Amino acid sequence: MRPPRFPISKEVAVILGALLLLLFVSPVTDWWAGAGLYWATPYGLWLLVILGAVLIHRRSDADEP
Amino acid sequence: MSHELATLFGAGLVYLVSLFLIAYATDRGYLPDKWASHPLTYTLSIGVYATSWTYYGSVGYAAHNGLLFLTIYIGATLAFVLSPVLLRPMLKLSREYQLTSLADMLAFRYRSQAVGVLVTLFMLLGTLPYIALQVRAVTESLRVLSNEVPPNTIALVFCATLILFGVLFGTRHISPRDKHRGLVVAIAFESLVKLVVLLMIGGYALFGVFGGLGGLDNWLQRHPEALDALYAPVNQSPWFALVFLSFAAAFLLPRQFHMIFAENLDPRGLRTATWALPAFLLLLNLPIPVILWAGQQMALGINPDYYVLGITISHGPTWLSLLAFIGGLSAASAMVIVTSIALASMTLNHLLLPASYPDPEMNLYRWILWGRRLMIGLIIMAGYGFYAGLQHSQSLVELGLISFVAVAQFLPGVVGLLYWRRATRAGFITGLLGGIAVWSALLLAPLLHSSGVLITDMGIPQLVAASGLNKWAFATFTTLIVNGGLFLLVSLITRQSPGEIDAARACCAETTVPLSGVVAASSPAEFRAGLAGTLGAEMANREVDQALNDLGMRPNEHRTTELRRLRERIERNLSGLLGPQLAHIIVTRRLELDSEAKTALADSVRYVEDRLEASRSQLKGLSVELDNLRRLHRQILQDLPLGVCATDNHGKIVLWNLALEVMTGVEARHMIGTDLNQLPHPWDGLMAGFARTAEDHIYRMEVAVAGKPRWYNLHKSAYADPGIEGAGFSRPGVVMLIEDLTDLGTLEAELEHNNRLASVGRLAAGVAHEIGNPVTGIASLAQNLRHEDDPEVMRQSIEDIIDQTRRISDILGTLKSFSRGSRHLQQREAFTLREIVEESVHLLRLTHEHDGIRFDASCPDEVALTGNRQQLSQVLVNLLSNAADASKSGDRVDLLARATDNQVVIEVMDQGQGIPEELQETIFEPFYTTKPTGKGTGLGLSLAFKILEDHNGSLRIDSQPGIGTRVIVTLPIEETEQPYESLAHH
Repeated sequence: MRPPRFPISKEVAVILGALLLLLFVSPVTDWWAGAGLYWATPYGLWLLVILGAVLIHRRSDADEP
Repeated sequence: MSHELATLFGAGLVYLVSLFLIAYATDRGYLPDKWASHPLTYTLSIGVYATSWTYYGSVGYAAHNGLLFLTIYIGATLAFVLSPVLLRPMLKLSREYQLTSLADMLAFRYRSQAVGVLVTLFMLLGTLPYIALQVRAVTESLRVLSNEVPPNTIALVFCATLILFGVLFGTRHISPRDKHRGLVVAIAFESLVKLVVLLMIGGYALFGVFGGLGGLDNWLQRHPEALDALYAPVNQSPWFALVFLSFAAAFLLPRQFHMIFAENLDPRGLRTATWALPAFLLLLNLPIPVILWAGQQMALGINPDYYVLGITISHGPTWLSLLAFIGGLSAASAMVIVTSIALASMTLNHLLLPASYPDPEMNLYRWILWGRRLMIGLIIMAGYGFYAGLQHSQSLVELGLISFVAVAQFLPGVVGLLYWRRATRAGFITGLLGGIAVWSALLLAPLLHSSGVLITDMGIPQLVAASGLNKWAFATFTTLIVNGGLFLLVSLITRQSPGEIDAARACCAETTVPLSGVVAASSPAEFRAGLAGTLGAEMANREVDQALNDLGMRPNEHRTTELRRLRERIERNLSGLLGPQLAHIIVTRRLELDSEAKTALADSVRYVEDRLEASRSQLKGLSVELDNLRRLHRQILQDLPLGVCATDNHGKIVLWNLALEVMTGVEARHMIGTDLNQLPHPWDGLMAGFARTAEDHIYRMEVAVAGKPRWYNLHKSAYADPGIEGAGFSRPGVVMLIEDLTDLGTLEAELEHNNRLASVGRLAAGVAHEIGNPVTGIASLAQNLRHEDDPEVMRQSIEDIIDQTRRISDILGTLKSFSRGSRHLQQREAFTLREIVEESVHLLRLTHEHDGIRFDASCPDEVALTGNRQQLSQVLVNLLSNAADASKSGDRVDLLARATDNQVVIEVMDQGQGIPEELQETIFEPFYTTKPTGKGTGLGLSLAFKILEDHNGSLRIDSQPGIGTRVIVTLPIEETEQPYESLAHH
């Protein structure tokens, strides 16, 4: 019997969404907003989430409506 | 440096004309089709999210609120990252039920025209300030670049151009199945323009103003307050509220819904947009801080909202400032065009059509088309009116955020739509009205007050200040707490209508219950007649044809299951044209449904299987294993080398496997849901007749298929209620197995024929001898006649010759009759037992192989049989021949026949050596013989057994070694009537 194809893309998406909220809407923001980091640091964190989304995109080839 | 107003106007006009050309070239196919359907084009078209607010307003917002400007894009990123649980189900729903706007989707889920009206009105109210914002951004950019106050005519020309574009390229098709490719490519081009231009301006700010990254770092070190101002607001109250608002706006704003769902050419595009749109937004926002600091460094002295223009007009090249203007124009025009198209469809479906449904005699398609065009014009002009009536004191972002809070009010309803089946229409309407009331009080009233429309601010600013929260955070939380709270509370205390329950099941995609009810109309022709009363004959015909085509259905379809699907498809197609609620009303009234009728198992099975196939990738754990098991069982049934047909308790076909498809030449998709009586000939009579009969097994049924005889074994059995929800079982269904014996039957007939020929061969010598005697007698009589003159002697000789020739004829007739035997059981005739007994004994006596054997036959007169005379004669010949072979010279072979009440018993007895007990079973096997090589074929007894079986008779052997063998044959006198005999003659 064939295993289901990429059954966890939804879960991964939710985890990635939670990561985004953690980075941008939680006390973690105190770290990157208050530590005198480089002005483009938020963009770097944002890019990290986008790379995660690229991974979901590659894993969810078969999970289309 | 400044530009002439005419130059800017000309540049803007050239850009808009080029936009027309791009859309036109796409629609006419001058541009490759793959460009329009490319996922990146789709992603860029969703980039309509970034309007003049992003293009101009972000810098201004960053100047006052630091990194808060990023929240508008981080929230959108969150929405797209969560697309597998949010956007993808909505896209699926939108495509499946042809829902072209948020109002359509919510009206569909909550089954209420009032919902559609309310959503549309509120969407219009919340979006008009946003359209006004775009118009204002364009006129302000003209003022900044030209140092002149532009006349209102320019704003009017801008609006008129956008109306023209929307009418030409946004209403080319009225059905959502046909996408506006030209519009999609043009909007994608606009996104590309604003991105490239903003990056160029950012590059100019970095390298032209600061001299590179090093210069920027140096400037930041000298001005640490700039970096502090950027980061300081991050932990303030509006941060979370703005992320939340932009999360909702990213897919609920009319333009967003339209581009993400209504204009989606390929669902795979959304997968790319999951990462590509956030990347687009990131790139778009990357230059914002640099442009802000460049403006501050240059001390431009203008509103920071327009630093994008300011830094280029002060020191940059002329072409760059013109490009900066084009970028802003691009951002504003894209938003106005798409928003007006989306709102036009919404307004028409939920306000105009329900209020004044046109006469069916009119061409409804044309009415809808012109209605949408009119609405596009009215909406853009209403936005212009809003722009003209507003004071210009509000910032771009402020106007945008008012719209964002407005559309966020739909979020509870959408979450309920996707994930809460218990949500009710009353709950949604109450919650939304509560949210609207609070939004109006907190945001709309102050806006109108500041514009002079209202004379009092109703103490709202004091209330917000007392809360200690930022205005946006306060408005967001307050509206959503009221909205969500009422939605929850009222949903819990109210009941759903049956329509809501069905819609909730469809939206939550968790059900496996099939479409309920049976359509009153019995054919597509009756559908046409029914719909014509509301849609007009032309539209009714086109819609029925379209639905038939969508489903791959035949125009003469009559199956209730299929007609139920046809009705559903028509409703969905009409939903795309008229809105879901109106479509539902029309279909409900014109194509009546008997909702009390029980759903047949055939419908349930197909529906459940379709649903399982469609949502297979969503199954997990034990469900996956169960589904795999289901597929395995199904595959076994499908690949079984026997025809399998199962019917439900209504006699409708539930299963029709591949072997049966090959056997009958009829595909399963045309058979499922069909009554057995509606099968094509000759299968209707065969299978429906078999289903009715009390017999569970019928062997060697001969059926004429395409004029040729074929033979089948039929078996059937009842099966119990599988317990499928909605099946309404009260009694079991039937499963039938159909085994095609034609190849085997042909082979057996050949063997039988060969055996008969072999018997003829063995008889030939005796026959020749038997014929030789009368021939010799005839010759002698003929010679004597040459010399005979006595007429009396001559007459006697002639009589003798005639007797001898008659004797020869009888011998030849018997041989011919035996050798010619029919291959088909169904070639029956009536005859007496005596006839075949005498014929068989006569044949055996003819052969001189058995000269020393005495054949004694005893048979009652007038015992009638029905069957294949030649085959039964061969049985007796084979048995007598075997008995004679086993006998010694001088022995006697007896044939005793007697009749009882309902059967004939024939015993063939010899006085041979008998058959050893261990061989008494083996001798029935084909090709097994104890005779010397060349004397027997080994087929005689096995064929005799089979022939008797075909005649519902039997054969058994009673043998005692050393004493002799008795073979007992029984045959029914009157055979059971063959129920399908007539089939053989069709």
